[in-house]
Amino acid sequence: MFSVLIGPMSSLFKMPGFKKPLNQRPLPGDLAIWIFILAELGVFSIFFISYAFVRATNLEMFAEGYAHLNRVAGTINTFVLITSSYFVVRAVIAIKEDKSRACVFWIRLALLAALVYVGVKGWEYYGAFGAGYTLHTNTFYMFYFMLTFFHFAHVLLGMVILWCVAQKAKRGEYSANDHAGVESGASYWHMVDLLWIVLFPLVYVMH
Amino acid sequence: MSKVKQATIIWFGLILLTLLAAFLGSVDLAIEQQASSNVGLWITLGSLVILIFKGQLIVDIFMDLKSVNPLWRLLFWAYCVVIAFFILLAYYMGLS
Repeated sequence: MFSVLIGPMSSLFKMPGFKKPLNQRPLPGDLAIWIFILAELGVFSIFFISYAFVRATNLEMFAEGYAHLNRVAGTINTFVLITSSYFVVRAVIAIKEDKSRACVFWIRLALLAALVYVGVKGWEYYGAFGAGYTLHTNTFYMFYFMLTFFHFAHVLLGMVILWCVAQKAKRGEYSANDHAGVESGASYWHMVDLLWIVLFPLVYVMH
Repeated sequence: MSKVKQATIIWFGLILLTLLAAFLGSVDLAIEQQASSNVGLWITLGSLVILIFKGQLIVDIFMDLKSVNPLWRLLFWAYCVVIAFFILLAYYMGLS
């Protein structure tokens, strides 16, 4: 559906006079997923910048909220997401070498790492809710739960995408000559990682 | 260098940078108050530099945008840099 909507935009790059340098490769995967990724990064950027400015005007509240955060959970989740992204990179390398089984193997490892993230995040939320903190506690917790849960929803969607890609790869529907789906799924997963790269220091580190 | 070796080195580098960021987050607030307001500034600056560096590694190597149309690379680089700029700006607003 996205390809139909933004197909005409991609033709801009085929206009006469537009010469690509010889060593320039095409964008990995579909153009549609990259437009979607940029849109998601834009939305999250607004959230991140809003958090930073609201914190500047509520220093004491945010300092108190920060003190109760589980930084160990945040650090573990950063390790897990980076490692999961690495497994996805290995999956893309494998399918480019026409190794479908290896591709499926690496995606399954990425999904396993993602499950660890889900477990750690669940444990973190359990601790926060158990201590009586909710979305309505104060502005800090409103931002904390909104940012992290919005990101968490993207992780879940990414897991569904990766699972679908793995199923198609298992059926032999991808090859060295046709693997745009794998690259698109991988790109979405790296976006999830890119979002956490900002969220972790902003919420869990800076004080 | 093979793609696998490159990705593995970058993964290891990202893990080390995460450890460094986590260390910055663990700096005792009491020490920060005893020293000067500069400790908090250095923590923020350090975190932002690590953020930009990690972001660029993910964009260039994991997302494989190093040799595509430079406009795409610029857009993703801008994501990290613009956010870092506004975070730093907000930090200064908080100080004042």
